[in-house]
Amino acid sequence: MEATLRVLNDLESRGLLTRYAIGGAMALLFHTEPVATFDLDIFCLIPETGPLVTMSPLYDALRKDGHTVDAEHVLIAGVPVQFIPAYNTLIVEALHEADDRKFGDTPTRVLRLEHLLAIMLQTGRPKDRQRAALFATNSTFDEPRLLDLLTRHGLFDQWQQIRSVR
Amino acid sequence: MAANPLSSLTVATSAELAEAVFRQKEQRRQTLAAMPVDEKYQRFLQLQRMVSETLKAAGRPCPTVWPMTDSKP
Repeated sequence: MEATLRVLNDLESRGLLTRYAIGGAMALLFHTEPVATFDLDIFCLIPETGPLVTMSPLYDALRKDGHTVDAEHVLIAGVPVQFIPAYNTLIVEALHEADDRKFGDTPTRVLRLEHLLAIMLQTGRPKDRQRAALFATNSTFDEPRLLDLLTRHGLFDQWQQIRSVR
Repeated sequence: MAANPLSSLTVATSAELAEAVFRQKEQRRQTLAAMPVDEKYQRFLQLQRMVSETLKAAGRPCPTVWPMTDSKP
């Protein structure tokens, strides 16, 4: 994965991504126990060049650099990467407040656990709710920070539901 | 490999035994969560391969497993 992260850092330094951070199950690995996944979710801010937002320059550059675009993934150094543009205010905030981390010798960014929990609650798929319930019980998170962001993003009721089935 | 503390455990009821198993599982999860990231990543890669093998055995499509080459930072 380190080689993949180096490519992502390069994309950011070339301005093809404004900012990126690891999300999804791989981000959880930095905060708590490992869970299975087969793709690397990369939340990102895309440079805005006009009234429309497009990922074409990013995908064109990746193809030009020899990476394989396959359906919704790009295979980068053997790892299927899914680029997820920031699609709402919660994701934008999560990206701006992501932790600077290192994987091996390579600097990267990882979404904070509080934001990951909030995104799981917002997405609301069965697997997200299941993971949120699991990590709500077992992880060390900043509770005042979590409650603040859940309240601001209208997710407090979902959180109460998760807590009530613990 | 460490001895399984449950293997010699004797309690009064099955419910107590199940409770002990759940406590042990919880402890195991906490131990995993506290590991350094590079060590957790190794476990993750093993997990991926196990899931992939299971899917293959069930005749289901196998997603791409990640390379081991740069997995030791």
